[in-house]
Amino acid sequence: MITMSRRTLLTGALGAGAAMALASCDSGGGTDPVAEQSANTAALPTYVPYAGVEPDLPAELGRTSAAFFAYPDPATFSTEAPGDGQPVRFMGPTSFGLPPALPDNPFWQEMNKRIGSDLDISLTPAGEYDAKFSTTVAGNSLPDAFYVGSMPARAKFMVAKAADLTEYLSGDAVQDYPGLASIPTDSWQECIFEGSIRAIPLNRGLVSLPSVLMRNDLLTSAGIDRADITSFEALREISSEMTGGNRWAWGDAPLGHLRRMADIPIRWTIEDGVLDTNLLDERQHEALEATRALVADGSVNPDAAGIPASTKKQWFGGGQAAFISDSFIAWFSLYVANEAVEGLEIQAMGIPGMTGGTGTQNLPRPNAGFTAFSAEVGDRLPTLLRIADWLAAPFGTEEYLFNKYGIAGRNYDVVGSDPVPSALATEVNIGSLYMSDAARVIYSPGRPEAVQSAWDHQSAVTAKTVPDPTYGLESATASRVLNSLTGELSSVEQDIIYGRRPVSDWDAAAQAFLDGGGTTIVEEYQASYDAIQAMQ
Amino acid sequence: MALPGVVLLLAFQYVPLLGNVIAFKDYLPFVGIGDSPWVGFDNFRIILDGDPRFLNALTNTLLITLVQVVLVFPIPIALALALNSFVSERIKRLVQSVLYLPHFLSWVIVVAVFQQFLGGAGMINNFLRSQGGDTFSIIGNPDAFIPLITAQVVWKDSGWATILFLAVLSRVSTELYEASSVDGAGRWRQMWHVTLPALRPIIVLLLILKLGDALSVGFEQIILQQPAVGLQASEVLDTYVYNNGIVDQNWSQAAAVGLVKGLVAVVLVWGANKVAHLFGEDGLYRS
Repeated sequence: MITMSRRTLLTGALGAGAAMALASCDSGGGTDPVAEQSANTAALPTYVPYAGVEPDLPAELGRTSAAFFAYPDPATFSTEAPGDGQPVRFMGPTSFGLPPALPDNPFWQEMNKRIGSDLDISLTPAGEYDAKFSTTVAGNSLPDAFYVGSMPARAKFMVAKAADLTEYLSGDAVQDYPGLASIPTDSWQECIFEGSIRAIPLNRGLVSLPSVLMRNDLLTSAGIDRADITSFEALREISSEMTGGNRWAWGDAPLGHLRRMADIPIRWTIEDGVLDTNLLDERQHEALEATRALVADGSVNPDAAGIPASTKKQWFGGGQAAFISDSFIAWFSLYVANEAVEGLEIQAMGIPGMTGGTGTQNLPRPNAGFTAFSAEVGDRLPTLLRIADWLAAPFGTEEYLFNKYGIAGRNYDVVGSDPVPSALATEVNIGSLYMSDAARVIYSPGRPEAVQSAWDHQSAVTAKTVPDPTYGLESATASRVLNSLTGELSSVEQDIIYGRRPVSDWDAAAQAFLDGGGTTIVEEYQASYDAIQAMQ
Repeated sequence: MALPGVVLLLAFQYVPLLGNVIAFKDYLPFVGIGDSPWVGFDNFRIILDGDPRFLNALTNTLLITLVQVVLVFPIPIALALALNSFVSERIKRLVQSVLYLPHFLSWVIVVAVFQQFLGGAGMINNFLRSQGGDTFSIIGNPDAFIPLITAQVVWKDSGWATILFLAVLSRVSTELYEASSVDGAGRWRQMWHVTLPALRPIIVLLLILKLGDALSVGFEQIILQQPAVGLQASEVLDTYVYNNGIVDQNWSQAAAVGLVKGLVAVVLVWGANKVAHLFGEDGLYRS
């Protein structure tokens, strides 16, 4: 476990981070790790940040995202439509409700016109996407472009089935695609397999900080100051106070948050160059015990376990839940979805330690995944990349404004310079942002105070953070069995949280995780880490 | 004339059977069936060595099957007899329609309706809570899981399952009833000596078919409710194959389990058929 002050993050960890930057996350099966790592490094695209806008609040690596109080005067980004007139088939996940179909969706029609190719998009709810993806792969019916779900032996798959983008994107070549070039380097590491670029990243950076979002307006009206959440005891008490009638404090059992409070947000640890896991750490019991206590107190909605994320968001909007675990970025979409809720004020919960002090925020991986093109697209590849580039038009451009907010006067109303979403805003959720996306910033149209709060929250919780030490490392065993091991472990977690098994069952489950492959995974990560160190 | 049917059967029933070969391979979809390496009976280890997750799924499956054969199977028969005893055709039709209706709802709807009524934050509990009463926990309670899914099956499908029995009952000659009442038989004796013997062949037939299905206990219904109660209580063989095979992508292991499941079903059907012969019934077929 490393906890970092700001200084260590920027100095020590940057060294380590840069070292990991040299690795690809997932490439397995190579023969010589050191040689492969250097091939991967050589392939990385040059980072050319978009120079057209100046953020109101600055981005700082590992601490904050760039933030904007208002949308800048939109600059034109591209001169011509990127498409070739032929349809482009894409398959991806979505965390939104499904949009109106193409014939009833003027935004989608306009998108097709501006791109110059019809986007034929097939969306699956995010929770079921991996199953959909694996059956599509098994049926050998991958479309032109596809979001890459998790799967065993993914590196082998990428090299076999995804088009090689290296000659178009490696090094300075990426400058022909300025949108893609403005995606930070750490995002690309995940997209390089056996020395070649096989995918384009969906950058999120710090906007995907795992967080707990709060209905601060409900807290205020109950006479509670969120600054009083300074320990688990205080949180537990406030949770009880926020529960009553048809409202529960929590829309889900917040194990992740309590692990952050217990300083063990990430399962893998690294200390003095030695990788390990904290699964058998006593604090696991502490976090489980605490989560279980909230459930036993009745502070968690009794139906939380079997309910999709979209329903939890509805509870949150409807005031049936005061706290939900979500990604930081949901802060703004929840404002948009609940425009009609009077007095709505969203804040993110701070991360105190279990008994006071400060807990540890886990830093998210830089991407929300990545998208690849089928190896069978042949000479359409440059066209598809141009479309991806267009969809990755950076914040501040006319194209970004259109991609994210739609058609002025229809999907949004212009207030000042801000695109304030209208009732038809859901039309834009066609899933194009899972095909390719710009580097993310903090921005909420017409809500400068929310932007300030969000940036302040990032700045506060990132004072003590821990990154995932396995990002950029490779393990063949992990790529085969980590998914199912994690699945079994979380099933035991659920049983414990909901009181179906004693907390003491955790150790046996954790041991089974280690015996079933976890120990081998740590060893392989270690070898991979050492290989990177050897290159220094 | 039968050719299109035969082609269809070959293409969609028999050719896909060849895919079972992946049970003996370390199959990766993008490598292909042909190029994936042979591993012999490695994938059957989870069955032979008694992998705890597999055993848990098997136990749950058998338990649910037992409950469903003992409790659920007789209900449509009783319903059919009850319906048959209505004198008024109109009332009979009305009751029938009401009983059939739930069959046409998809499991997603049925599960959602049960959730809305019985959930921890559902209508009844919310009412109890507003009255200051104690609440109950059915949805999300692993101990109540089997009774819950059994109740759902009964509610959804019992009415529909009466159709076959009613069809048989409508063919029982009225002369038999007349003759028996001349002999002084009351309604109960008529049921015992006329109605039930008429139903016996169809009951035996359906029971054999049910046994063939013994290891399939409602995939959709269970997978929808699985997150609420956890795998320990709700994992059955079908969801195990899905969770292990499709979600975790252990295709080969899942195929091995599926294969064994198929073999067991064949043995059960064959055995039940033999037993039916012993009791003098035709069963499914007679050689």
